[in-house]
Amino acid sequence: MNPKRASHSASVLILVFVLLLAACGGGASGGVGGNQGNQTGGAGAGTGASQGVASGTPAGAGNNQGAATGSGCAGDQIVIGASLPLTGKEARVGGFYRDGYETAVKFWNEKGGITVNGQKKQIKLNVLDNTTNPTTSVSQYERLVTQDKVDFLLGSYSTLLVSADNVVAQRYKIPYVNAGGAASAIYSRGNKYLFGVLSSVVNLATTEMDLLKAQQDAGKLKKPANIALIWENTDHGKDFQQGVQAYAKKHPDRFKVVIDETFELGGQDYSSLLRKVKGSKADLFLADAHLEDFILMHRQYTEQGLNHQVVTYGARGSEKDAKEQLGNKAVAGVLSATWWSPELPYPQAKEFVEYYSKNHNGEMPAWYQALSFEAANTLFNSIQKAGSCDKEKVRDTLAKYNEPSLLPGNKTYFTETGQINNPFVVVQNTTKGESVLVWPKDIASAEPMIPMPK
Amino acid sequence: MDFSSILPVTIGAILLAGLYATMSYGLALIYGVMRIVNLAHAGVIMLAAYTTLWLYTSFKLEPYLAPLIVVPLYFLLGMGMQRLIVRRIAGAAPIVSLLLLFAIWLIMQNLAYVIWTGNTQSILRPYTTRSIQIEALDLTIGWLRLGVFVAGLLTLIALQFFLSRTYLGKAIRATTQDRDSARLVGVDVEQISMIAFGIGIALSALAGSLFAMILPFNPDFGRVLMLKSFAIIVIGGLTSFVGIAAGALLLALAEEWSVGVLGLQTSLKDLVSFSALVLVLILLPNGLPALIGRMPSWRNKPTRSVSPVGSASPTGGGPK
Repeated sequence: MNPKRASHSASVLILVFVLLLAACGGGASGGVGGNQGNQTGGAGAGTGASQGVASGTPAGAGNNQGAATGSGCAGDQIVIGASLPLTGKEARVGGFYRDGYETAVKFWNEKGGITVNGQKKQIKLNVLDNTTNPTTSVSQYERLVTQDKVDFLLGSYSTLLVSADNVVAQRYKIPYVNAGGAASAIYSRGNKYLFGVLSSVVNLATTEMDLLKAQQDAGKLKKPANIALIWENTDHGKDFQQGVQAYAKKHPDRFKVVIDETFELGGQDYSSLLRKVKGSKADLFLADAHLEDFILMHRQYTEQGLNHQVVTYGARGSEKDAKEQLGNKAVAGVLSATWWSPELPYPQAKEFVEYYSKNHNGEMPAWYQALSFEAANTLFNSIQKAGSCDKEKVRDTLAKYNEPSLLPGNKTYFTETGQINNPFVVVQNTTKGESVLVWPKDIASAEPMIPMPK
Repeated sequence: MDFSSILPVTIGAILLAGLYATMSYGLALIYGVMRIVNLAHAGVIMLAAYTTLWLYTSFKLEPYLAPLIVVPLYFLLGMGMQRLIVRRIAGAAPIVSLLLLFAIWLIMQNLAYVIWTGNTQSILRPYTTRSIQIEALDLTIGWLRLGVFVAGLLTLIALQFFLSRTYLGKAIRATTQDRDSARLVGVDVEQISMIAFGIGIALSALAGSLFAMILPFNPDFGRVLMLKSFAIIVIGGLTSFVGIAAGALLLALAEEWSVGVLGLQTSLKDLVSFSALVLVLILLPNGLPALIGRMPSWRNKPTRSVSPVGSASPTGGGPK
């Protein structure tokens, strides 16, 4: 073969494969043969032992063409199904959520279980691993409802997965309570079986901006301050971006967004993005990222020697994993607005912290465990209040639910969309590796370190 | 357009080019000798990253020393792959080798899922985030990035020396130019193919081992890097390691300048790489060396570039 022709042919062949690979690539990790094992946590919390799939003992969970209605819970158990990212990109947080769910199950089972029609029923949890893959998550919720015939559903994590898999709840008319989807777009699709205990990320952004405004008033922060706004290209990130942009437009004398950039969820290298941030000469670095992306981005942030008066990654920043991987010094001063803090002064929060620590060798829970606990607790409480396992009755009880809880604002309730609308709390990492509550002012345990230590 | 950031962006691009070039040499060498597009390239990069992690967690071997073990190990693995699997499809249609190596990549990925799960891993040492600050130029350079760049440069020099000054290197080049003629002059073509495949895999593993120190990885690691390697070897002209280094530099500059100087959204960076690939394939199918070959002032100058695909090189590059 003519050498040039051969080279040309090879190039064309490569192009075909590049396009082919690009087309089939880019999925979430775990897309190829990921571990899809089943993990069942029964009455015992914290074990996470793999025990195979729940046997589907409860009867009455019908499978009649798109509706899993019926009174359910005919046996002596109530079976709750969930699909979580126990491996893959979100494996760490998926483990936290399983922990929260299992703690709630143990908490209720120790009290005898859920009372339905005057009879106490133990709770059984059936958790599947979706490998951080939305497609797998959808098919696993389908399986939980149609094959395993679970009575109710607890949600997945994160926004990406909840956004995809909550349709199963609507399709089979089965209540789905989650603590993993915060983006308001998830709740705007009219799914009346979907309930979420995570407040919108728009609220998160607004809470952080309120804190920054207060710091400007206290003379600790430059005014006007230039913002580098960096957000993951998901509904979660869009809410954050909209929240910050709306606030900055409302207060043009205080804030100016000088760079507004997206990044791909689960990216591998943020050095170009951070160089651009450096070039923008911003005063504040406001990003919205998930845990893995936060750890990588902040690692490269430190490597590039960046320093801003304020650094936040939205809800991420106070995680133990980040402190262990990057060191306390690297994450000191990072602010994070979270859905919960162990420092909240409410009796429900104190009771949860005490119970969780007792069952986890003194370990303190993070917001992930608290929120997943609260999602499960809300579902169990609603079943008990409905006094029935009838899915419609439980759904109606959830829709009207308004009870004291461990969350900021001290109550759990749902708006018409099914999403809670509670305030956030802001915590900040100290140089000693702790995370202290710095906002809102009335319940804060420390003054914020602003500007951040260099 | 932001001209003030030209210097840091350009330096960032040069460091990135070192990373890109390192991961592309192996792919080019294997294509050059065997006319095979190694679709298992991403799998080797990924497995080498995990091997580096394993050496660190199990034997406390500092990650920057891991290439000393990873490179010979994967050289042997590559020779084994060639002898046991790839050799059997010699002479078959190109699609056969593509599918075979694609299957090997999938097997590697699934093995990694079984052994290490799909969790993202990263190696963090006290020196991971250390950097050099040049305040006068408002410049910060990470030590590890600089290290990877230097490793890429040393690899290029070593490859050039090996292919131009040693008998084995010359035999590899003779085989790339014409297998039958090489056989006629006494070169054991089968053995040379096996060694060249081993070197190619070892080079991919070197890239994986170096990347493990600066990037997080999971079993899907290497996919985007491999796609960029394709772009680089096509831009570099599939002809010489210097061409590949130049292709890597061009691609890195195009990516970084489009974002850092021209103001393109960072999330569109990959669009630049793959648009460049498509443009080069349409306008310049033989890559940069062909363009240089067409330029009158360059045409008659002998090149010192060493070719892994001698016969396809418009600038020569046969055995010397």
